[in-house]
Amino acid sequence: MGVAVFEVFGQEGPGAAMRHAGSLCAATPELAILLAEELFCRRSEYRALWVVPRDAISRAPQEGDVLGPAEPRGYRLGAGYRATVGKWRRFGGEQLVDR
Amino acid sequence: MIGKGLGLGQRAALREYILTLADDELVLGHRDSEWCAFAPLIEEDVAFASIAQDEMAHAALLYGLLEEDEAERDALAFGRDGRGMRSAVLLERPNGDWAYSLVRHHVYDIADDLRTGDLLESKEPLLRAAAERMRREERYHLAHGRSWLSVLAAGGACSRERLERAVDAVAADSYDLLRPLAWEGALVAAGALPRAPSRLWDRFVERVGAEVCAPLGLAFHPPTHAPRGREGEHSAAMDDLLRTMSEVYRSDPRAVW
Repeated sequence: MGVAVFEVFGQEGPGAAMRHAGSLCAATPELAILLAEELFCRRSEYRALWVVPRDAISRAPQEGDVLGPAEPRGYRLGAGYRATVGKWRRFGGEQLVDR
Repeated sequence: MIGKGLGLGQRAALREYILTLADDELVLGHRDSEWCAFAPLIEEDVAFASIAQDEMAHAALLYGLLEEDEAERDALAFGRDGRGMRSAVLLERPNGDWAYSLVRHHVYDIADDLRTGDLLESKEPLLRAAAERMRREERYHLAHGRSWLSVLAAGGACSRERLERAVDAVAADSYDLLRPLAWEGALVAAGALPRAPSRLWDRFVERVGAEVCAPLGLAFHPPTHAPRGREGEHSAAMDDLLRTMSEVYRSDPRAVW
């Protein structure tokens, strides 16, 4: 029997994002969703499921690639602004503010 | 309690009928549970064991219509010997291969679908409510069976040969499921059923033919002599099954769980 791997996504409540719940093997997509119901919803964990053949998922990075920029760009992250506060004080920024 | 306001004869008939329904579910549920850890895929282990639990739960629901007391209910499920069991012989047969177990379950589900469909028209509110609850799960069971049958049908020569053998073996025992029984008329007179269960036979043969056999290019011609499980005539496999199933219960029938 030929089997394929399917990825299962579940929604925990109304409006919640679909989250990866796990994966399973099944012979057909039809059987995959039926098995997913038993495997992932027996204890009413999810109110809705998506079942996707793993082959249907496009993945990154492609071979040899690395995700993310080559040079660090920490200044773009929220944490970067904390460093900015220190510099602002050091250079007397507070005196520029009209209290 | 069920059957309030009915005469003694009608009440006895109703009890017999509910026992046939409950015993069918209990015995098939037990056989299905034997697949746990042996199904073709671990995913199916979980799914089929869960279906087995559904059938067991349906049996418990139905025994509960006959006995309010839990100990009495257990005695009904686990305390009878083969002569007292009202299930169809088809359901006690050893599991054989996956094709047999699957075809048996699906063919039984079709009979059960017809039976519980009629129960929706019962004048007994408790029986009607039980049927509604059971049918909610039976939709899944039917979809599961259909899906697996199409997988096995596409599985090559060996798979095909096993399916054919399974259909023949199941057909040979099928009549027991809906054989006319002496107390059927009383059930209809009592309003518990819109028609005698045996009147569903033609529809059953037609549906198994169309839903199970036709996609395989097979025909369904079940003989109408078959065994008489409903009258307590069971095979040796039933004794084995009861010994295993009730082993814990019999070790101390008065134990509280």
